[in-house]
Amino acid sequence: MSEVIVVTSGKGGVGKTTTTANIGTGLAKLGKKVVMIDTDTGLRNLDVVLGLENRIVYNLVDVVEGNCRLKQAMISDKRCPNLYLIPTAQTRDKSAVTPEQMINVINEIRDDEENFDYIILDCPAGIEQGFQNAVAGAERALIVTTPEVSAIRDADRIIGLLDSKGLSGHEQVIVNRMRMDMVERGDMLSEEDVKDILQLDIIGVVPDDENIVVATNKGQPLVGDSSLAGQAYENICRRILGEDVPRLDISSNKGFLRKLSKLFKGSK
Amino acid sequence: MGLLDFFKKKSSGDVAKDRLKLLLVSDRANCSPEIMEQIKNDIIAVISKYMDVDTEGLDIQITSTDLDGNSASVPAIFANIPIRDIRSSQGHPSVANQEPSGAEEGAARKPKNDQAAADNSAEKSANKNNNNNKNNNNNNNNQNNNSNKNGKNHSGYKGYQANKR
Repeated sequence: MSEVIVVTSGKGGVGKTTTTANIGTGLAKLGKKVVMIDTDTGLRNLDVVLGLENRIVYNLVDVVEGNCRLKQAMISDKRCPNLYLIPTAQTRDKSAVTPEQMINVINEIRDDEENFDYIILDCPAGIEQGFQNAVAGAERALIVTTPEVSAIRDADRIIGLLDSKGLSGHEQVIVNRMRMDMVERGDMLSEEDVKDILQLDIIGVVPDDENIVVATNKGQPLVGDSSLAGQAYENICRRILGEDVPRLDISSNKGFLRKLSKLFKGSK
Repeated sequence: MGLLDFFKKKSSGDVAKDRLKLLLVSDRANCSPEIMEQIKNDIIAVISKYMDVDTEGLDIQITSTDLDGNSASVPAIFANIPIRDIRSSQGHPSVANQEPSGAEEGAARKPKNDQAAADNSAEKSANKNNNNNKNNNNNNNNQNNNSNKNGKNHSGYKGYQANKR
């Protein structure tokens, strides 16, 4: 039975699409059958982050309007079997889809003979129609935030809205763009701070990593590779599958003095 | 910036944490109108045991107030509850006046019942300073609910008030 996960945040630009792409790809690499759905109609980006922008023929709006069959809109990623994407329309807006239609699409995917393991919905920023659509059929939520005041405030609001939709108890937080050097200086909220403020479990912390920009440039999600962010995303995927993975040490090891101080402090 | 400043100053991360905590309390309260509705109804129910209040003109909100000696303001519940009349009590013993922090009980007056209203507001401010006991005993002698029907008791009431002052 497919698990339906929505990746949301409230605040824009914190890394929902990047997280969706990496988690979807990561779970597929770990052997699961995954469908990702872009619900940011009018401002689609999941396709471009995955490097699948040239493969789009039909999209989510075509499916709900009956212009094509569901399978015709599903793009399979040649580099990663088991991974599928349903992009959305770029030339429409979020009123083109309703929550009821989203639920129908999700049910159709669930009933499909392929027996998908995960349906991952990339939610747009905001709390309006786009959010309502993305959350409609979800059973579990991953709330992405950065360790900044405005992102956390919006995440809290989103958590409240998710609670009111019955997702309480099925919400976990991903802290993105963490900078351990700033946390150590006291200039950034730590993982414990975020957990204390939002009062939810943190399923993973992803460091601020230049390699993400490179990966998006190339349209190749970096999950599972040797970069810190790649490792962090893979750990999150493993935790989603139920594995108990210890936290990655995401402080970057640049600089001789840092290496020296690490030597004296002992490995963390 | 001296060395002492360095130690005294809170890190920006700590400042952010404190700000967020306060912010989220008030955000959460404002964003759950259902909770506010429940709080409002509960407050009306409790106060209505002792006096008749104007439920239409009632105003209960979350606002912020400055704690003494603290630079940061904290969220507080503000309640403005117009009183129509003091109920005749059914033998309530002494009541501890537990009002929500920051609540003020206004005494908006009904124009048609000026005399009763004036007595009620004086009664109310007396309540704040004194135990309810004496007032409840006095209420037992009155049968005034909504209207100023029993003039005799009412002036007796007034007389009591005068004695108290």
